[in-house]
Amino acid sequence: MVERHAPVVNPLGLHARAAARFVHVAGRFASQIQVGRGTRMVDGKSILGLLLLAAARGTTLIIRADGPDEVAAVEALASLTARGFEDPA
Amino acid sequence: MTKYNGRGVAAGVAVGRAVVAARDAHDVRYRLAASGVERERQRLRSARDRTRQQLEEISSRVSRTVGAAQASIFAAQLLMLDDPLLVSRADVLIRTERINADWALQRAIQELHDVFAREGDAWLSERVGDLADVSGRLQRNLRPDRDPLVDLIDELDPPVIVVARELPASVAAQLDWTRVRGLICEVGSPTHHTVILARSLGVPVVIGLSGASQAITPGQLLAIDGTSGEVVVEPTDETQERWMQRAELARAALAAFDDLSGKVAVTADGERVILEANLEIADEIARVIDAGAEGIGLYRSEFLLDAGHPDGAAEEVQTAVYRGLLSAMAPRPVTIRTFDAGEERGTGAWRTGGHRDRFGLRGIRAGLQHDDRFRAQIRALIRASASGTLRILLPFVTSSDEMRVARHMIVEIAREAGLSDQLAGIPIGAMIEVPAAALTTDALARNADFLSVGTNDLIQYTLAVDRTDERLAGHYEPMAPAVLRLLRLVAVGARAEKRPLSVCGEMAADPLLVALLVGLGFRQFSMTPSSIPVIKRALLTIDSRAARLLARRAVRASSAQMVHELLIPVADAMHAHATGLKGN
Repeated sequence: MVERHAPVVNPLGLHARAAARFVHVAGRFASQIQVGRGTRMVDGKSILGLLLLAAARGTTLIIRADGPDEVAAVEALASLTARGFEDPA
Repeated sequence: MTKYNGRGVAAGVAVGRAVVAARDAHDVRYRLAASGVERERQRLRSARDRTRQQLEEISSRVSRTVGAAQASIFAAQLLMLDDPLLVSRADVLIRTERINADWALQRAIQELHDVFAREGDAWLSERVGDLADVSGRLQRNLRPDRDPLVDLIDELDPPVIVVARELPASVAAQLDWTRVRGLICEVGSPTHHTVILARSLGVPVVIGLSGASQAITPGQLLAIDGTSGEVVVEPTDETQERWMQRAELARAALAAFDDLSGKVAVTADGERVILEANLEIADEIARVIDAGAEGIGLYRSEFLLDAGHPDGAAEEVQTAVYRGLLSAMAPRPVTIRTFDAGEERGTGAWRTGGHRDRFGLRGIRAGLQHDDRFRAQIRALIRASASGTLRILLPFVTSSDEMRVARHMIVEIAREAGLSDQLAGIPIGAMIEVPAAALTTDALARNADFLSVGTNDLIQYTLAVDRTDERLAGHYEPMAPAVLRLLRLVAVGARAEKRPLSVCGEMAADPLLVALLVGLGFRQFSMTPSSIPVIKRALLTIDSRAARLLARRAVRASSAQMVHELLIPVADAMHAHATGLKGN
């Protein structure tokens, strides 16, 4: 299992379109993916789960992956988060 | 076992399984038999597939026309569709809790909403909106064609008791009433079309049970008494048996009434009383004849304007419907009330008198102003009149002069259409349903061939009570002395001008109130067909002279409660008679 922390930097936070992109990227990996803030973890491949995190700008996301491609998965998702989920600035 | 008490508005006793239609019958809940689980899972999958297809179409259209950025929101919705927390969660609920797909989906959505609400912060609205969009689409796609309740009842094993907040008449009209044995509504009124319909079909109804659609769980066994308003949830075996017996007794008592069916109605002292039927749907005519009705006292023609009859108002369609009615009843008279409907402002579309029309442009007022529709109906009525014995009843008349103008107009319509000869023999009557008409009955009678009292509206207008307003439930009171005094005025006015007088409101179907009405001088009543045998039997216990004394005391009473008390001995006599019959 691999874990990385990544700050939410885009103004809108983990909103619907951002969460959609997150799920889209997570779906490319075979590993199980968990995302959370504080003690709450949700399925990283569930858009509704991600929305329920209500991760606003400034939140630190915990991204965990467990499986054959766990390193690449965590890397890709942390990078996506750091890029503000590719929201147009 | 839990007991509730509502207001019984359609007599009868029934025992059956609950089908719950919360929120206007679009959210339907019931428990599945083991064999139904796969079917519901399949329905859910089909709904998801349809939803996906629609979202993809919308997404690509938006992408082409507006741009990829805007289309991405549908990508989010598509992801929600495949999310384990939504459809997959509902699927789990169908399997584990054996509930129907609609209910399971509703539960999954509610779970999500609950979490959203708990986590609530300022920028949740966008997400909730997306979720609501996609879940609403899914729900609609579960039953793409029909009202869910209609399908549902076709799938269930009877007997079924429908529990609803409110059952719209449009839905009620589509139901298979041979499977529905009872109806429980949170709101509504005895004059609501659904209730009138249920009564006309002999299905017991209890209304005014606030929170019933939440408190009663789908699939629970219910016993319902449409007279007392009692509802028992999950009755014990013993209670259930007792209720089954009551249902059986009610049927047996009805069978005993058959002995009276060939006989005319008379009071205990031999006063002749005419009993006619109110008719909702032309197809019900066989029931009317079976019940021993001496005629149709009220046919509410605005049913022809309802959604189910898009061409209902077409003149030739009307002529055919009226001919059918008249010939089926001939030589018995058929009273057809002209459209009691208002016109939707600006649209030209007609609708039946709803809340906002109560004081509005309805009845003959609308008829005189929107004369094309009125003209077509009058021509259709006159053309059909040769098929039987027609009486034309004009609704919502408020003055003698209005009646005079309306009659004049009818004569003109007939003359223009070359139908003057046919019109000559047709009685034209006035509906007395507002205090203004009741107070001037004698004057009105000079311009009317007959009079018919619509007690439901008369009571509402007299007491300033809107029956559909739950908060006023206790204020609608047919026994209010003010109402009885108005009715006495009507009876006296009609007698002075020697005009036939009938009561066609609900009061006429209540044996106790009929005792009062007989005492006030009324001798003709029109009611839902299933009430005719009941009233016929009740009349046998009413002595017209005793009733007159009773009525005299009732109009001087200080409250409806006092009138109720005056009627207790009458009720006792009726009960004794009924139990006496049972012993035979």
